[in-house]
Formats: sequence, C-alpha cells, structure tokens
Amino acid sequence: MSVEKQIQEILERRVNRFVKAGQSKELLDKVGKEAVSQVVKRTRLGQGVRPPGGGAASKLLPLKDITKKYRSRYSNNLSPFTRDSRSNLTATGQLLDSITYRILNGTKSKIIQLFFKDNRTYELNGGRARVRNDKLAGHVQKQGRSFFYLAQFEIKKIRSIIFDALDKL
Amino acid sequence: MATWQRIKIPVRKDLSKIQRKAVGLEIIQHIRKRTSEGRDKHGNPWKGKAGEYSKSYRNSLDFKIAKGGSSTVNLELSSEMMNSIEILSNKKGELTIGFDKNNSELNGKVEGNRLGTYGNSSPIRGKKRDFLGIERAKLKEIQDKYDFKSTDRQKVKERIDRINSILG
Repeated sequence: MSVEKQIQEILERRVNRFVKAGQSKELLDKVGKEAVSQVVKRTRLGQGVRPPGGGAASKLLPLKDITKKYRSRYSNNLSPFTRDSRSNLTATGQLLDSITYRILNGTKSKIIQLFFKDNRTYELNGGRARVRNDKLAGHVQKQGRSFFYLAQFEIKKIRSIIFDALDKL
Repeated sequence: MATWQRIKIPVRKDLSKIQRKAVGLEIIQHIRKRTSEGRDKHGNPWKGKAGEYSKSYRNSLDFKIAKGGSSTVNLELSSEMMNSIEILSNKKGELTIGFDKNNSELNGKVEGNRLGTYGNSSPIRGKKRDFLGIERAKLKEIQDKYDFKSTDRQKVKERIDRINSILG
C-alpha cells in the first residue's frame, strides 16, 4: 500500500463521515505536511518501513564498505544530516528534501499524494545528476531499503492531528 | 530487563465500555499534547535538569535531524514513543493505559524516561521525566465530556462516535 493509499484509507474510512475531507483544505494541508515530515524525519533517523506499511519502523540496512569509502572520499559534499557510514538514504540530501505532497481530486474524495519533485541537480562527486529522484527512490527500495510508507505510529500521529483539527472546526 | 510500562486509572463506575474507551482515547490524546508542550504528568513544566536536553544529546546528529533548533523537552525524537500509548484494558471503573507488553525496547525507553535511568542501573538525579499519568481535574473534565447526565446526550453520542472512529 502506498503512502497515498494509507492516507486515503484514513480519510475515507475514519474521517469523511464527520467532515468531507475535501471541505477542509486546511485539514488536508495539515495531513500532507505531517506525512511528509514523518517520512523524511524517520528515514533520516535511519529507520525504514517495510511494505505494505502500517507496521513498526525498523533500521535501514547498513551501508556496504564500498559505499562508505565512496562517501568518505566526497565527505565535503555530504549533507549535514548524515555521516560517511550512516545509512539514512541521505548523501547530498536531495532525495528526501524533494518529497512533497499535492492534493488531487479522487473519485470519492480528495486524495493526498506524496511524490518526489524532480529537482536533483548534482551527484555526491560533484558531477551532474544522472538519475531522477523518483527513479532513485525506486532503486533504493528495490535494494531493500524501503522507506516510502507510513509506520503504525505515524498513522496514529496523523489520526491524532485530524482529531484535534476536527475539534477546532 | 524493563518492566511493563502502564498505569491504572480509576474511572466512574456508571460509564459503559464504549464511554470508557472514549475516555481512554481522550486521556491518551491529552498525555501526548501535554508532553509535546514540555509538561509532566501533573501538568507542570519539567524541573531542573529534566527541563533541558544534555549537551551531548543536543550535539548529536539525531537531535539535529529530528529537532532542528528546538529545545523544548517533549520526549519526541521520531515520535514513536508518544504515539504508541494504547488502552491495555477497559474494565468497569478502571482503565489501564500504557505500552505493548511485548515491545521490550519501547518499554525500556519509557522506563528510562519515567525513572530517569536512561540505560543506567540507577536513576540520574533530576532527570526523571514521568509523563504517564492524568491530572485529577483533567480526568473529571474528560469524563464529563462523555457523561450522558452532565452534557447534551446527542453531542456525547457524536463525540463518542468521532473519537472511536478516528482514534480507536
């Protein structure tokens, strides 16, 4: 289940009968921002979530020695949110920084879609970017570092934010 | 080995199971919110050393990633701990809330905060951050929200439905 589906399930199964999610752009924005923030923060802390999502977060696979060496060689270009040997899907930082959300019209209700902006411009070695952010995300997930899902506690946090927001509506 | 982190909360005996569940969910919501504001189980700001993060922690990469420049002690790094509190039992006159018995890592983290041990065999003086509890006045306020006698019956029903659907 994608992040988009996970959020849609919360909205359609739990929220829409109290307030059509589409009626409150403010609410959808809150949920979108929180989902992005959770995925980015948790991944940078070195935790992934196995598909289909909804389970516990778990440590991302450690980096291979050859990757550590490569990162160490270009450590001046590393994002301040990582270290040579830290496995947190952050090298230049562009991949996670590119995650954002948009609100789309679905058949039943509005949909919050998380996606990767195509703003990758350079690689860790300083050369021009050779791969788009969405392709890179797919690649790292195929390698066993899945992160683009919501963990159980993240779903709970989003539900809690929705409840508070509805209380104020 | 950490002990199972949970608290028993006495609630009114005339509340039904579904009312108690709503009260429990609202208590958990309150604990999360109060802790995120840097307050303990009595509603008071953390005192002394407990009110600030240690220098080594503030200088850590995890802190930089999760908290940026914020210095409020809110027990949230990934926010997993504060979003893992659940209703463990729902009996007439009593609710138990706390953490999954089988998650020893999480219980260890919670115990470290509540006792101030943080991985040590004995507590670090002044570092205890006990967040698991409910103020007496707040408990009354929450129970009143779900009491058919003290509030509009229809409103109570709607609130029970809403909280159980969204948070339950």
